[in-house]
Amino acid sequence: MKNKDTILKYLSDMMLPDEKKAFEKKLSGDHELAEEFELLNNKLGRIKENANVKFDNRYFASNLVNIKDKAYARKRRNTKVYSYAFSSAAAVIIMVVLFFQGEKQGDFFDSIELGQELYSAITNTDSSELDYILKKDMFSNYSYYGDLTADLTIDFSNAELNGALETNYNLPYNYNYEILDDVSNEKIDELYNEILETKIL
Amino acid sequence: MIFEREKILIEEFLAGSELAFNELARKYQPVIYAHCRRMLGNHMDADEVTQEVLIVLYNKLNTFQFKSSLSTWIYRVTTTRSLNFIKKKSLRKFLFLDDDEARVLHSGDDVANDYENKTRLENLDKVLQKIPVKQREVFILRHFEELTYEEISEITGKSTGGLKANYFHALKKVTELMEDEK
Repeated sequence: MKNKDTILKYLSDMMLPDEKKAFEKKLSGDHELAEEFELLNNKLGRIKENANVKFDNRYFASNLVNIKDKAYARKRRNTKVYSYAFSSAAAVIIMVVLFFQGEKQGDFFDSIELGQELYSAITNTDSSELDYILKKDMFSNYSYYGDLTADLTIDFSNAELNGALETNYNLPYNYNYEILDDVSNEKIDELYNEILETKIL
Repeated sequence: MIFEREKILIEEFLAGSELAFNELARKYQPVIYAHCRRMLGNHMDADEVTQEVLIVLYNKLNTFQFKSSLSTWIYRVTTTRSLNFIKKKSLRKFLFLDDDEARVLHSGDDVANDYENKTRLENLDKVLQKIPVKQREVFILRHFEELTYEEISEITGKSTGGLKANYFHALKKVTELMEDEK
């Protein structure tokens, strides 16, 4: 079959318009080409015939039921998965928010509580109480105390406060307030910074 | 007129009518199956992909935007799923996970209801499975479904020039195979 490629090119619509016209003209006059063309067309027609199969409609009817079952199941599964994922994500977010909120609130209320305690001790000139509070907080949780003093903007290097503490409360010298009286301002700064740095964030 | 009817059916289905979906499925199920069967070459695989395509149709019809005809959209889904199936199958074969013998045994559960139809299907499967996948895809859509190159291009996303070349090679291969059969 010497014209096979040309015929297939024509059938595949790969020819340019002029080429196509020339081929059609040749086809009507060239007996050999026309015969080859018919032969190839018959072959292709046969395979098309094979594709013309009658299907059993019962298969499709039963298949439709299966498909709907599967589609429902998939939808339900997807909905379940999405709802689980959404609930878990929401729970995690709420827990994280509550955790941080709780931590902040705890610190905040603790600060307020201790601050109020301290303030009331200073204003009521109750030296033993002040002594107790300072001692308790200085020794048990001094980093926290450092944080508190920062919150209350109490500066240990403040000579006025030192004087007030000494005069009003007649504090014994051997307590931790010796820091305020005997140590230089630079040392106080150093200690203060140390306290602040010791705080565990 | 046909498109109008389909549009109405789609809208009815999206509004909750199962009957509308049944009508669409009844119309397209044989088309989908035939395309899958020609692409995949046996009943079991074609059945699996047909079900998959119809499930997609059921679940994703709300995403259909009427930019093309429904049949084009369905052909696109069917072609993509069939190609994916072929890729997965090749991979399974490569990893020795695919049991081809079992599939051949089960191919007796066929959709052809008589001997003549069954033989025709088997002959067609034999020929088509010998053509490379890309050429097969175009050959099926052009030769059996009689779609234009523009329509095929819309379905496959390939240029018409490339499609023509693939179709040419497919025709060449098919005619050669039919000569061998003689």
